[in-house]
Amino acid sequence: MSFSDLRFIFFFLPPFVLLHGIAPSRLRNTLLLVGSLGVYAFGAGLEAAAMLFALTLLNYLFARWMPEGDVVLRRAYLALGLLLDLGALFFLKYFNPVLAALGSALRRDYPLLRVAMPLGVSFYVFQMAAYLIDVCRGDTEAETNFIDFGAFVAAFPQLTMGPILRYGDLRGALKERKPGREDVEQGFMLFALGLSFKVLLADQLAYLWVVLERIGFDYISTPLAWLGAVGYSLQLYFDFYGYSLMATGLGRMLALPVARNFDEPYLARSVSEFYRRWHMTLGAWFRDYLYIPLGGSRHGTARTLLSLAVVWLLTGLWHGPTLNYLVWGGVLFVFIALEKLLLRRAFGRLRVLPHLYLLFVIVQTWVIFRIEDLPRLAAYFRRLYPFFGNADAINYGDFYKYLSSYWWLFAVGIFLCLPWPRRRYESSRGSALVWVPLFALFWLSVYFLSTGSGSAFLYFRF
Amino acid sequence: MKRSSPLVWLCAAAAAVLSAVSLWNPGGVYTDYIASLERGTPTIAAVFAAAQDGVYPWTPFTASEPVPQSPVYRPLNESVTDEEMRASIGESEPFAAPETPAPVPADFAAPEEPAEEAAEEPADEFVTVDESWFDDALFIGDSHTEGLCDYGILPNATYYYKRGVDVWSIMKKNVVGGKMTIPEALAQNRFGKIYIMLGINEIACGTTESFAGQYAAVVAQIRELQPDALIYIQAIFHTSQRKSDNSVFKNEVINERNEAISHIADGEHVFFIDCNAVFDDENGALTSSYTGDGVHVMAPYYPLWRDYLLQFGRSAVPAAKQEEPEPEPKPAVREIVKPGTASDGDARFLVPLRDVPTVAAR
Repeated sequence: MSFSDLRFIFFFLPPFVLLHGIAPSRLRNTLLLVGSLGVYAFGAGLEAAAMLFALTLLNYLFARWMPEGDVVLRRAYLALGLLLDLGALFFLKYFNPVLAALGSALRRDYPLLRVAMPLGVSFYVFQMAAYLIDVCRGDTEAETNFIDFGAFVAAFPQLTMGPILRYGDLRGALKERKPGREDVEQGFMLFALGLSFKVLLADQLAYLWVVLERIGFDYISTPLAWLGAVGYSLQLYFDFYGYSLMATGLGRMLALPVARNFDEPYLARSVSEFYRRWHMTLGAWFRDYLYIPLGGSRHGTARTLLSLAVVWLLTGLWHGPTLNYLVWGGVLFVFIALEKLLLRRAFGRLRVLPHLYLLFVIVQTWVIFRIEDLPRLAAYFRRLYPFFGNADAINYGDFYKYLSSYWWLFAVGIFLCLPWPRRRYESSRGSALVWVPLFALFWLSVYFLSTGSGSAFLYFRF
Repeated sequence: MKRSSPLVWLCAAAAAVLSAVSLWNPGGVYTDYIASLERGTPTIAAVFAAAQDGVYPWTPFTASEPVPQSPVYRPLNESVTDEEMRASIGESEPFAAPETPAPVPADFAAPEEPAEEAAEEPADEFVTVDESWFDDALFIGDSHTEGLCDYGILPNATYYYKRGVDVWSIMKKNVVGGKMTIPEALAQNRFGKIYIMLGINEIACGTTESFAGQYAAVVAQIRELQPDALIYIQAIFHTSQRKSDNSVFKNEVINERNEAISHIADGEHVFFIDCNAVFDDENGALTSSYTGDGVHVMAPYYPLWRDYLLQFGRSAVPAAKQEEPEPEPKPAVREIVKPGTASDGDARFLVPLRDVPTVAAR
């Protein structure tokens, strides 16, 4: 069940937070585990919940069975656990798409497996893999209490869309936490803010992309193509950032420290910096568990580039099983490598140019991210760069038409990407200047969700 | 630093109040809204959904118009006398643009041909016209009509469209420039022909009967406001095979509903035209290469819709009586045979077949 589901907001959250708050300390994790599995089963189905439970149990056992001192056996359990986790991920996420792609390439009809990818599997599998690696390395002790570990994996604030948490960071809070009135108040403010980012900004902006698909990528004017790319960049940010804020807020309501996932990424000055500020927990995962073990930047330029290439191609694949994600990861690798080799020095102390470079590049990489079908992706880029190809059936007034109906969403979105709205929020969290607007935004979001003007429902209105 | 914030408590209080209001349900204003909620959804949603329609707890309760349970095929020609009918045709012509090549209206005895003859000589009913035909035309509809407005290359027509509208909301929402409802706009302007394209948004709502009944009510209301205009009911467009298979937008339902709304036509003032033939593939679904989203045709295909409509100009004078030295090639006409309905050869079932222009070559 998504956080922007009215049933979640009004029927699950209030009683759960209340129960969790008044429950005796030793029962809180049981409550969290059971409640989270319940919500997950409700949204993703019983089979998915059963699989989550089984994977959690096995990871818990593998970590516990790792004996102190015996490196070989520790690594054997690690290998077994990773094989299980990543094998499940590959099987559920990539098997069918790969088979289908192979089938269409070879003009054969392979029977596809009747499995659906369970909600959030990419996130919780990475979380458990990190745990196993940490335990094997000795960075974290293996958890002996299954309830505590299960509550960590399944905790509903982060289960389906991250952030990808580390057990070591949460262990303290899992063992002993006292959610107080301030936690509930501050957590709910973040939740309301994240909800309005998602419902009022992202979901509204999303319709622009629906319109572009409807017109056909071949037939949009170049200004509209760029408007669409910027619009999608804002939509994706407020969707994911909003979700992460809701997760952090929900965590706070339960007195669980949910790591921050975004740090004003569009203010970055390079692609590599951007990805230290966007989906930070995923970037950190790849850094700690892949890039550094591969040698990081300590073994010369060639080795660094190789490590980066592996990391970015896998980052691409992590996001989805289609080819465009590989292209997306590859393009990011190229720019990050360019930055390492040339641009970092060239940009030096320039103030404006690096920002413009970053925005120019990132907006286009999101287009690659968005369009799964490569010929259609090519069509979109032909419109972004209209130097080739024909241009009939294009209504050159389209840009003004959509700009005039979307300009305020762009204005608000861009404004919120700047540094000072957040500073303002941080400095006056308790004041009416913050909670009065948030009260209005929360209920406006609920209005949008109630009237079908928000969420996925929107895309079914023609 | 002071960190307390009353937000969560205020929201909880507001939620409690709104829930209480929805459950208290003063005068039953929320009954329908609660009934249409997805199972398990908080009834607060009903309060907001009602507010969107301008319904509040203090709104005097008026029994909502009953959703017709059986088809209300209001045969419009039964409610008007022959004299009125003739008069209305005669008056519709002056709205045509002066440059319209359509012949000057003359003898009104002509349309009184027996229906059987009309079937044999269907060209009497429709003539191919040029684009000036649309000078006094109005298009009413949803996003399909928006596409026609943006890409149909028909700048001389008027368009009242709004994304997401359906037959139940089209006359109530501020469709015209976001400020006016269609009844308000129709009271101020006059049109020679009015084309309606509705039905895809509500495809999963109501029954075929309730949909067609409401559609007929919309047509009747438009007729009342613009008694001189010709009204064209356009068939709901098919969806692509994939969309039809994987969503509620099923072509079987669309066909069923098209059949139902075709009965609203009277062949005199109200016509039913089906443009699906232009865009369909061999399976009767929207050709997949024509569409980006499975529902709408992409930009370059809208002119085909316009071209199709051009074949349904109407002349007061039967074409057979005209002395046209070089008549334009008339579209082949087929009769859509619908069991028990089309046997009378009524003009409303006549649908020209047209070679689908190939756009792929572009």
